Amino acid sequence: MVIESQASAVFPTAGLTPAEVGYLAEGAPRAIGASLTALAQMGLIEFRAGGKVVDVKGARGSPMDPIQQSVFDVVSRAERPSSVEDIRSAAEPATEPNRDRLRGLGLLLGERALLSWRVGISSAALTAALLLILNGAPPFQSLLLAVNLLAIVLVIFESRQGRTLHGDAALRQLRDEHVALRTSAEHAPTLLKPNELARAVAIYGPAILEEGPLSLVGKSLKREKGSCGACGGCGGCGGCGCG
Amino acid sequence: MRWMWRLRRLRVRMMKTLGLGIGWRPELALAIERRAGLGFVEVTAENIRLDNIPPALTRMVGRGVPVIVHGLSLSLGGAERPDPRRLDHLARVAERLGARLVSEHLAFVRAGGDEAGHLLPVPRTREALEVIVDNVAWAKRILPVPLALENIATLVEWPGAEMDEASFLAELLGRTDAGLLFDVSNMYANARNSGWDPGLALARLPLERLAYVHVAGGTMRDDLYHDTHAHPIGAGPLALLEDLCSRIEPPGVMLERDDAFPPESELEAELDAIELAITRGSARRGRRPELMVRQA
Amino acid sequence: MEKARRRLASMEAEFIRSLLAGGPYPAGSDLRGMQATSQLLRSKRLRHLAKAWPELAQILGNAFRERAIELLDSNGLRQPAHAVQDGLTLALELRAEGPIPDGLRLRLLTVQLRYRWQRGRLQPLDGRTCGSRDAWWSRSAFRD
Repeated sequence: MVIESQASAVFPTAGLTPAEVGYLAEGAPRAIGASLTALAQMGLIEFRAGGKVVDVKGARGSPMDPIQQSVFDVVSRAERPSSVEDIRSAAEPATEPNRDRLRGLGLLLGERALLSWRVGISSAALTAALLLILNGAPPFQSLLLAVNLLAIVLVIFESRQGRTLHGDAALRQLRDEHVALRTSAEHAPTLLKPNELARAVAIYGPAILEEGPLSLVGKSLKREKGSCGACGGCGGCGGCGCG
Repeated sequence: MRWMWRLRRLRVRMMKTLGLGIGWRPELALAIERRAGLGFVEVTAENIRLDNIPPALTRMVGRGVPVIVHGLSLSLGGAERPDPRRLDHLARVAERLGARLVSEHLAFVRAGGDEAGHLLPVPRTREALEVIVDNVAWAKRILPVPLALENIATLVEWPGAEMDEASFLAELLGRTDAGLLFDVSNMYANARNSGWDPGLALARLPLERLAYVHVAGGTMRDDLYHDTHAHPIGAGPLALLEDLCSRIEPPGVMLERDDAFPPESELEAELDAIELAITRGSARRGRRPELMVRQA
Repeated sequence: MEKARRRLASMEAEFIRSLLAGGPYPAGSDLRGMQATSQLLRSKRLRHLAKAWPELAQILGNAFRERAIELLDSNGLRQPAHAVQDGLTLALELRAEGPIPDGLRLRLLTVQLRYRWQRGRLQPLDGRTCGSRDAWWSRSAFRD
């Protein structure tokens, strides 16, 4: 596939599955969203009004990777139509191998590094508050300021989905290299192969489907649990799927 | 002014090796990017906003894929001189995309305050020809790159025609410095619907002015052939393309597809069919040296 | 030259006017060709309307063509082709007739947010066409 062959030598994005790309961009919700997109494109599941998902009885074909299989199992075993949120909650554990692989590639921070960063940020805020108090600032206001700053910094940090600087660069590279894929997904998604469409959603978010024939899929997937959810709230994290 | 004429002719000659191309459409962006050995893309000027050029197109330009800018709404066949704002837009798009050529139609689209939203044929009279020659000259003064004129498909003929299509086109090109964007499918459509031989018409065109070629699909509807750009290319247009290629090496040939976009595999098959017609025509040209048209 | 332009202007104006009106056609016209072209212009406009407003085609089903033709005939094809505007007119008519489904309501709201009326014509805000559906009609306007 030319898309793979166009991947830069700098970051190993060529070998990433759509679910891994989705995890890199926006964590488990995006990985699952990309998988749902692929399954819908294959005709194995169907999105209905109200964001509910059902499996299509008697459909041909089968999921192409473990995440798709897990997601499909959640949908097909449900007694009634599943909400996207329920699918995400149930299928999230299945995305852990994605996370681990990305950590192995140096694109995501490990558990220890994440904890260190969180502790570090909190300590810095507390230290700043103490310094202010020692310099005569009112204690309550200083603590309040520190807590507010801490909250802001933590939100920004968490919105990065634990990406390393390499991870940021890899995501930027993916977004730069796949503009043609994005354009085709926005204008003629039904012409794309399931994993191509999944990759587009993984990189750019489900909002790219909102205007076309798959608008129901796009709108149903749009609210990504654990992300900022709406345009304008994600800062420099690589986008929240708002296009 | 003669040096400008020579420079323009040189530019047209530089177009000689464009190869196989396609009309860039966002629906086909991925397939177009992936087509190995694509020679050029044609971009519709009216669909380009200078403040929002599609990134996928910018990327192709950045990779050095030649671009031709194609206009739809200039109405060179109309009674009024071309709108300076539309010309300006064509010029700016051409400059921004590094286009080597701009093309438009031998047609009118508006008159008396009405817009047809469709390319309409011009009356083929000497008087109309004078107006169109003047319009083309006016346009060429403003455009920064050479201009090529395209023959259109039409379901209707004006009464009182003083010339046939090939003669009118030949005379227009002879009186202006424009190149020829020869639309194989449009000529096929008109010939099919009016009952004349497109091969004979082809033989009377000034093929040395050929800038590039359009090919598109169509369909029969109510006993008339419609050049829809939404169907696979049929045997008729491909045969006419082969005939053209047996007379001259075309600088570039492109597929036009505007609707009912096919999956990538079918698009590839369309492009392959065009390549095959070119190859077959070239092979025939090799065996007919007396019919070779010497390019100026 | 000016005389030639005036004569051409008059001929072409009559030509376009008669095509958009579906007749009567100028004396001596290629009647079959004029009728076929009139039909083509109308079909194009219907097709563009359906593409720009698939919600309308879905809701009205078989009645879509009839309703759309009625709209175009009453406003006249001479009003410049604008699929979003044509669809907006029809959608507002349907809304006035009774409750409309959510999909159409959302599309109506989107268009009303993204476009504005200027000199009797619907124009996108800031001159941009928003979304692939809205841009489609301008792209295909000049083909069959």
